[in-house]
Amino acid sequence: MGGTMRSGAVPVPESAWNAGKVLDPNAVGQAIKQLLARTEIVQTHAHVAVSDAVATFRVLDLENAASDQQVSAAVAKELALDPERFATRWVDVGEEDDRRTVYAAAWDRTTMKSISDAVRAAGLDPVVVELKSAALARTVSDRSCIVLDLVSNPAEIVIIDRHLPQLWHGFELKTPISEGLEEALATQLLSAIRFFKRRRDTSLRPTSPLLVASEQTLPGQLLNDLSDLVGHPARALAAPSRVPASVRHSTYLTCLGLMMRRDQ
Amino acid sequence: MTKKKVERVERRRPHVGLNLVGEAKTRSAAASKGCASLLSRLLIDAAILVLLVLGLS
Repeated sequence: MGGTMRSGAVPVPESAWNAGKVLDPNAVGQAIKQLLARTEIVQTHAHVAVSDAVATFRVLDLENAASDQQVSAAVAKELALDPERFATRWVDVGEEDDRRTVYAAAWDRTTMKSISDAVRAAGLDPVVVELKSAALARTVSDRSCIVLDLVSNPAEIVIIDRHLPQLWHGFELKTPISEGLEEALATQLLSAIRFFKRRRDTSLRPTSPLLVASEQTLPGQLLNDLSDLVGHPARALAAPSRVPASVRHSTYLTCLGLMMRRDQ
Repeated sequence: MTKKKVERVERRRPHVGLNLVGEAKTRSAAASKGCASLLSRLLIDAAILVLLVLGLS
């Protein structure tokens, strides 16, 4: 990715956020402000990824001839939430085999406003806000795969099928690597995979890889054990193409996905 | 030649571009805009990498 790339991370006060929700926009805003100063970033247009914990999303396959009104009706049926409290939006993501594929998301307006307020409190303009799973799906080249993100806290599983995020699952990971981590991870992974495979027309196959993002190098034996337990070949998630070697791609995977949006 | 091949592959790949704070784009709106090339996307002089530490990263 051309030009100067700066990256950084900063913790926020525990009282300022919880489970992906901003409880104190000013405190989070100040933390971001300090991060910007420290990394000498002066741009004011921000692309923001928010935790999937604050929203829900669906991928819908419809007849190619479906009108926008029919799509809206199908989305409303699938995401039947109180419109006063929840915002719903959908977008076309492609056409394949005479089908119209739509990605829809719904989120709590108040929760999203707190996040936007935090970004603005840092002096930034949030021009794009999207779910982390959507950003993450752009960073992998496999058509169908399972991404296990051990960098996040809580840890996350994202199932990607036909290049689209299909399912998100977050879970607390309290088991250290030395104490049966494989079994703990496999339990969560199998639960998510079984739930996803209840759907029809999935392309996830036993050959679809399990991609593990971690800040530390994972032992080869752990990946082998995970492969055996989960039934998918496990490997460390590779850096997206053109990412400088100096950038820790696992750490900044979501940010890299944001940069890969087509509306840059 | 290589560049064109890369762009064709990228266009075929489904892409979630939903912006939770922007305008919703329907099929007709997206079609009129077309697809940005892979290379133009990658020509970013600088990137703001803001982690809210909301379970992101």
